[in-house]
Amino acid sequence: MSDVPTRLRDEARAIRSTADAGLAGRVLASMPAGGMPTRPPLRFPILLAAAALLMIATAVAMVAGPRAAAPVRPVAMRMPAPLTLGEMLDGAQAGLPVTAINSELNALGADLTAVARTVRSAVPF
Amino acid sequence: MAGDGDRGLAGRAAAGDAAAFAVLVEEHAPRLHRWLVATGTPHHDAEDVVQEAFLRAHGAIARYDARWAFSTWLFTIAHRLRLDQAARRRDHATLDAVPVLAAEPPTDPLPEGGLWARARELLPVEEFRLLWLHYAEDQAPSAVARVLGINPIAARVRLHRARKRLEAALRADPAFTPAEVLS
Repeated sequence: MSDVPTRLRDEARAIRSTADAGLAGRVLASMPAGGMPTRPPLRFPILLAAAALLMIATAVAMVAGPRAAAPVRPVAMRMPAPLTLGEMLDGAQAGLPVTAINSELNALGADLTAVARTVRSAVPF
Repeated sequence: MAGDGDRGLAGRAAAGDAAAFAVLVEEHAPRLHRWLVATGTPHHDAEDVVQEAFLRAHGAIARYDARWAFSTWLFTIAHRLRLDQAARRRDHATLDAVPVLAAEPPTDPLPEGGLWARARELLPVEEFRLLWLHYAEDQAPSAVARVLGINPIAARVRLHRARKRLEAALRADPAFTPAEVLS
């Protein structure tokens, strides 16, 4: 007694050949003359040679290492001298006169007035 | 499976050894012919497919992928050739309105009343091919899938389905001895 897979395998071994004895001979006779084709030759040997040369040149350059860098001479950095208090006050007085403060305040007041006017006109009540 | 020996022979053939290729022909030509005839290809068409398959294999032997058995590669070529042949024949039949198959004497290799003959009656041809490649040619499901150009998972599923369908049909058949199936 056996299951279906086992019977299929067993019966397959008993199935007769359908080909006559000369089939293999006819197949071989139909093969092209000149023996077995081997691996095709490389199509672009010049390009491959150029690529190989490029790789060798790259490898040689990598093995030789980078060119030695020129020695660097340290240069002392010159720091500016700090300002004195008198110099800072002189600069503030020169850059911000009193009249400028008044005019800035006046301009700010004018801006606020304009904003208030705009808001008032935009509100419908 | 004679896969490893065939792989070695195919490797030697790829290196130019014509005698190794001749051994492959002697080994596989009858098996390929039997598969083609058993799965419905007329005898003379089967011989044409076998010759053409080996011709293609001969020309492309340098590209043979040794991850697969030589028989898997050869059967794949043959299956595609058979599909091409069937498509051409359909085209000619449409154009010329001639009978698709010429009459020829029966050359059925399957013993009458045997399990394989029953399987061919019961199963669709695609499932029968799967079953044959797996059980008669000892091809793994992944190799069967490669030959037939289907997904490996689909091959496993169809193989399982074919076996179950065959078992069920045989159980329901009073002419068949149930104990042999149900054991």
